[in-house]
Amino acid sequence: MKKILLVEDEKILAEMYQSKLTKAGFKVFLVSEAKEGLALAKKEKPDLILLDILLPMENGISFLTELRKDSAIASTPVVAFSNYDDPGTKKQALDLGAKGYLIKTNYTPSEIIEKIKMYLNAENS
Amino acid sequence: MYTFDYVFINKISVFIIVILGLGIGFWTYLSNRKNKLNQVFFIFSIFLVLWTSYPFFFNLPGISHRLSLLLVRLAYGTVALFFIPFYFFIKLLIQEYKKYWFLDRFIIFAGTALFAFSTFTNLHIVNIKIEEWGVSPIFGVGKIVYFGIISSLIFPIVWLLLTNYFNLSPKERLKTQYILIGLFLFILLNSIFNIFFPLWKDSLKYYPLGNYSAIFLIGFTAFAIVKRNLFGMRVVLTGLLVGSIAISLLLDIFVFTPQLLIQLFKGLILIIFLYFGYLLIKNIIGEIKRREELERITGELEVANVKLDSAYKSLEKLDKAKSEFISIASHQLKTPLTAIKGYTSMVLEGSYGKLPQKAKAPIENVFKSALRLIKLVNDLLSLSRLESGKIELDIQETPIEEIIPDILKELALEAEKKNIYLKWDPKKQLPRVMADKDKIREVIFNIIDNAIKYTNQGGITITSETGNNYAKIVIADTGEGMSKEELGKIFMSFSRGGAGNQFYTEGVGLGLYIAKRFVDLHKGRVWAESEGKGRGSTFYIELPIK
Repeated sequence: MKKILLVEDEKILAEMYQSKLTKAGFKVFLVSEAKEGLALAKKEKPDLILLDILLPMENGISFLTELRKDSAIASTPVVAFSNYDDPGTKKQALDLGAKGYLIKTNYTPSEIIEKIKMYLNAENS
Repeated sequence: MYTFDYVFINKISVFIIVILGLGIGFWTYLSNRKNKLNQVFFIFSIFLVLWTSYPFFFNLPGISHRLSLLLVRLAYGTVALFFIPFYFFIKLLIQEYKKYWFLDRFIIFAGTALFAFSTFTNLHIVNIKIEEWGVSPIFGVGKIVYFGIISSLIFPIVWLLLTNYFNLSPKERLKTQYILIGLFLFILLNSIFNIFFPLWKDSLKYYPLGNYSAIFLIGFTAFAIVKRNLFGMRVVLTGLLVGSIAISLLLDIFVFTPQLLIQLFKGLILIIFLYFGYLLIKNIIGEIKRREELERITGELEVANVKLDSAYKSLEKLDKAKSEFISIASHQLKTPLTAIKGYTSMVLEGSYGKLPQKAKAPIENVFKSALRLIKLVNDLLSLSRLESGKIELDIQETPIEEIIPDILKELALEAEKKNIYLKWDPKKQLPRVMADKDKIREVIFNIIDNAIKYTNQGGITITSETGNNYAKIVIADTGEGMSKEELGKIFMSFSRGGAGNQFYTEGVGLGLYIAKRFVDLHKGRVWAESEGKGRGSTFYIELPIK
């Protein structure tokens, strides 16, 4: 079973994606803060991180920067995932190695699952 | 030689000078009664006038020898006394109120002493001699003492002026310059008529003329004190030059020119000269005024510039705040919309149990509404960014032939519901266009979406064309078509076209407006053609390949 780390601070959305991901057969770890996320990533070594950008305290960009510094988890694929449609932030995330920058409202949860599966397949091959 | 009555001329001149001098002095006093400067000036101008008028008195017919002698002595004594107020005047002018305790007392003492020496002793003026032109003084040994002490009175004053000159502001310096010119003329003319002429002509006949120059000292000083805006030195010196030349010419006419005809001729030259002199001075004044005006305007411009700069900075801050607000607001709006879209899609998919058939349509409507809202928020965000010029194009190789099928897949369901076809018919391989992929996708999507809304039968065919340096996408529908008027308005914001009132009532007409702006940013063209109402429309997107 693939492990997905979900970093999302909006409770209502977190529950929705967690429920969907679990139904799709993934093991979901849910955190609401960047710092928690980094600690969990180190501990559980997820196969993919679904990262919200606008988080309380440190934001997703800072999470990515910290992730890349830690060699143990630096290679974990990250998909940035936010309603913040800002070209500058998108570029930053992609420059920091994010596999994609998805705008949440553009996809239904099922479409998100498809995207995740696509990214995971790309990782494996 | 034109003989004229020297004595008579003298009497008239004295009269004029006295009136003028007293008038100017009094006028100066009136202009600022409280100011000590003006008060002291009035006092020393009285002394000067007195000094000038003495020759008139001691030349009066029928006056006794003794009285005349006393008046002559008094005249020279008054000169000495005059230096006392003049010294204090200069002190006030350079605004030195406190220092020079010793000098103050020396001036007062020396002036008074010299006055007494000249008036009450016979060492200076021994006697007077009656000439045919008037009274002439006979000097004794006291003359050396007299001139010595006069010099000792003049030098400190000049020294005071010079040493403090550089501490003065430019305006005060200009005032001092005026006074110095008056003083210079006074001393110059006095020296000429009191010293030079007597030596040359061996007669003191012309010395009163020297005294008349007191009017220059009074005039210039008064002008300097009273006027707030003095003409620059250039004007004054030019005026003096013109004046001197004019006087010389005048003198030449009256003294050295016997023939009347030549006098008239020279008179004409004088008049012409005066006219040009006047023009010259007017010109200089005009130039100075223009320069001052320029300086004033420059000053105002600088002030305006500073204000503009700060206003611009405020505007920049405001604009930035507005952009941030819009970005954050649209983000905040999207969060609950994500939940609505997400959960309803999951309900429709059966993630929460089988959905009763009856509930399907209502939930679908909720889902569609969420989609509409999301599109609206996206469009408003794009619009706001377009309006503030904040759009950046992320240029990359854009494979149009991949984007279009993707869009058609997205819109397939909607077309199916309306029973219209969506056909993608690429004639040739489209060249790779360098463009912002997301924006071009939105452009094509908006146009096809719009075509679907306005087509109820038949369908939509999308084809492509290639030219020399452009790629063209053609979207033809069999829908409602547009009148010429509507064609003109279709790409304007918030317009729906006439057909909109009947068929398509969803949404605000932003899609095509944004599509046009995006295409414009790519330096491409987008337009529509239609043969008329009910005859379908064709949209063209032309993008440069480079």
